[in-house]
Amino acid sequence: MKRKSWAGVIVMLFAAAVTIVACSKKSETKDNGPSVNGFDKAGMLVNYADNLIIPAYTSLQQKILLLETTTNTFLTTPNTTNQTALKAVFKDAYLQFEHVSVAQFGPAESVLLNNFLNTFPTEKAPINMNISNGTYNLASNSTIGQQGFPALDYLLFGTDAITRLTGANAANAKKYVQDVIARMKTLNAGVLDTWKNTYRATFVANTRSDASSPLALLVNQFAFEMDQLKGPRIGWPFGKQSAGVQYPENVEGYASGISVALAVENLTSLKAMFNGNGSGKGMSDYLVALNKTQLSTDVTKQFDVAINALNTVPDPLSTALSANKPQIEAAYKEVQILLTLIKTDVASATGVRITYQDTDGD
Amino acid sequence: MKNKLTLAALLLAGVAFVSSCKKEDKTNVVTPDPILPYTVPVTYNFAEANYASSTARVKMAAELNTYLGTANNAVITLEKANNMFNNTNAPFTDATLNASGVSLAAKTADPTVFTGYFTEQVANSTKNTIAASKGVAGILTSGTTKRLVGGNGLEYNQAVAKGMMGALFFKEAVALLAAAQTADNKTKTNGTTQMQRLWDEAFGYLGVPKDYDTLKTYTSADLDRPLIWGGYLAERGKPINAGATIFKAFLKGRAAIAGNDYAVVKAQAKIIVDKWEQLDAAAALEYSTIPTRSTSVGNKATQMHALSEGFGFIYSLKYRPATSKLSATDYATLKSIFETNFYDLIDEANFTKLNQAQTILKTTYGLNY
Repeated sequence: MKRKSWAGVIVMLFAAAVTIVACSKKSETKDNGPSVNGFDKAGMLVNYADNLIIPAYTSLQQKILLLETTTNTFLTTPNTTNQTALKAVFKDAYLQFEHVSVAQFGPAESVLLNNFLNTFPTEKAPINMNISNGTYNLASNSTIGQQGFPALDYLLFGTDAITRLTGANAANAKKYVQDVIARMKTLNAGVLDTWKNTYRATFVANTRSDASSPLALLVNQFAFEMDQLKGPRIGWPFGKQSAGVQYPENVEGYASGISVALAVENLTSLKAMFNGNGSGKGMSDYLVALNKTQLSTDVTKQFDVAINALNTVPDPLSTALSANKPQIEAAYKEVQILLTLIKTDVASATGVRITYQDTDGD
Repeated sequence: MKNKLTLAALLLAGVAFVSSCKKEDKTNVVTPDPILPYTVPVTYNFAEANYASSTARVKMAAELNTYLGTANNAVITLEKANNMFNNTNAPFTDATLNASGVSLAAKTADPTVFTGYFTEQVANSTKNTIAASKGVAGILTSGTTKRLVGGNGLEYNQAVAKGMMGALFFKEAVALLAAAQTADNKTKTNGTTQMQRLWDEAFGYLGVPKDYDTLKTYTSADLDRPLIWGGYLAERGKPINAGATIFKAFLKGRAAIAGNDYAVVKAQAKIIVDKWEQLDAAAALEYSTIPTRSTSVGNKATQMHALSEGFGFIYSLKYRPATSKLSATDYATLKSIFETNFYDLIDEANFTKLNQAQTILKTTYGLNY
């Protein structure tokens, strides 16, 4: 018995010794991505945080506040004059959203900002049910399709908008609109605060390129936004996934008829993110530092080509889908080229793995 | 005999420790097997190594999983699933499995849990044309992918596939590696000692080819490709280097047995078991995280599929070794989270429960990547 415990102690000591050796041998392998030739990666991240991302949230917050007051005017007096005035303000706020869409990581990811602010097509039947019931929980994840810009688009500019706001359920409908805006305000304010108070420091301090690094998050979100453009924003309503059967009502900003403007704004803001707003501290400059000047130039050019191609498509996209097929086809093609450049070439050059598409084989 | 060997192994460990400190110890009277020189190969081509029974079970599980998965498009039968579980009435396409003389059931812990899942999957297979929703079994789709779920959102074929990875394969590997350490290493039968046979049998449950290559991307065109756990070494194990760590430890330990180097055998067994459990946790972590990502939210097929796999990997932790870092309390918490109706889990504001699961897995298993 005694001997056994003595042996046990020895074994434990031995195990401990092995553990210690194992620990001391462990080397910290930091994944900083490809060599950067003196490029100031941290400076690039500071530029993104301070000159692009935080200002985008700040501006969106201001525009949501203006949207709120203008909407209240329309809710008080729901007529076409107020509706037209509101549409310009709504469009301005929605366009600004396209600037924060590309920052769907960190604070935005933890509150699912894009999901709650821009899930489209919006779920009309559940929205009307919510209004007639007068009870709903907009914090619940199952209601992402019943709020945000797409819900407002439908409730404020849909064909029956004024009827709903003056009919039997007008009080409930008005309250619902106000609740949707209040939630947008709270969510965006929360993300902005987190960026300012804590996340900015984390973001700019992490110059690595592994899965959770800012660089990887940015490249992934670039690619994801391009996929969205190719899919739900343009391709799917156009019939690319349905053998040519079109879904005009599924476009982004259907009721207000601003889909192309939103798509162009999305792509323009992606370009600004890619080149760091021309500051010399963007992803495009990082690529140059990585001796990928050609790729950097190609991507920048392709952004312009795709934006120009999209601009030839007139709003509303819902009617252009059938009336302007060649232009949409051409724009779709350019978007696809840009998507491949970003998802494959930029990702590979920066040493980033595209992780948002799960490769679960079973 | 067994006890003597244990003692010998322990003393040997002691000697290894003491001698490394360069101290003379003359109280040792038991002469252990002398450590012989050995080399560690890069493939598992050890002479006479035989783990056919393990390989057969791995392949049986793969066939069973495939069969249960056909419920998406066809009505399946309990009889066939049970036949595959018990290897009765020649249920397998691969005839060598029918004649193998082994079954999944014989080595699966809590077999009734799994036969219960068969029953659920069979029942759900009659509802594969109905749209699923909370409380209603049926199909969820994402693009062209279909997922057959119960009213709770669980895909029962995933509960079987991933649950059995713990209840059969991992559990058996842990037990075999533990048994190997005290087994006879002198008497050879069919060219191998009992210690070697146990080690080989454990290796078989990893489900990788003899010349496993962590850098290779295996496809279904590779006849000898990683299966079950073998597939997961790459699918979820890359960030923790699971493939290379476990495979190399199997090679080193097996080589060390021939050299009577029991301290190394023991150390490799520990490396294997620890990394294997961490791999299970890494998979569970990923499947706790996927449903919470903005890119999955709104896509119930993707969310439920991930949760179903997570359910199995969490259940597998029930069969973790006694040395596990996961406390009973934390395991109970994880289990209860994954036993929550999946529709409630994905609907919960801020994903409080799934975040809690992620935190437990990250903290316990050092999965911070």
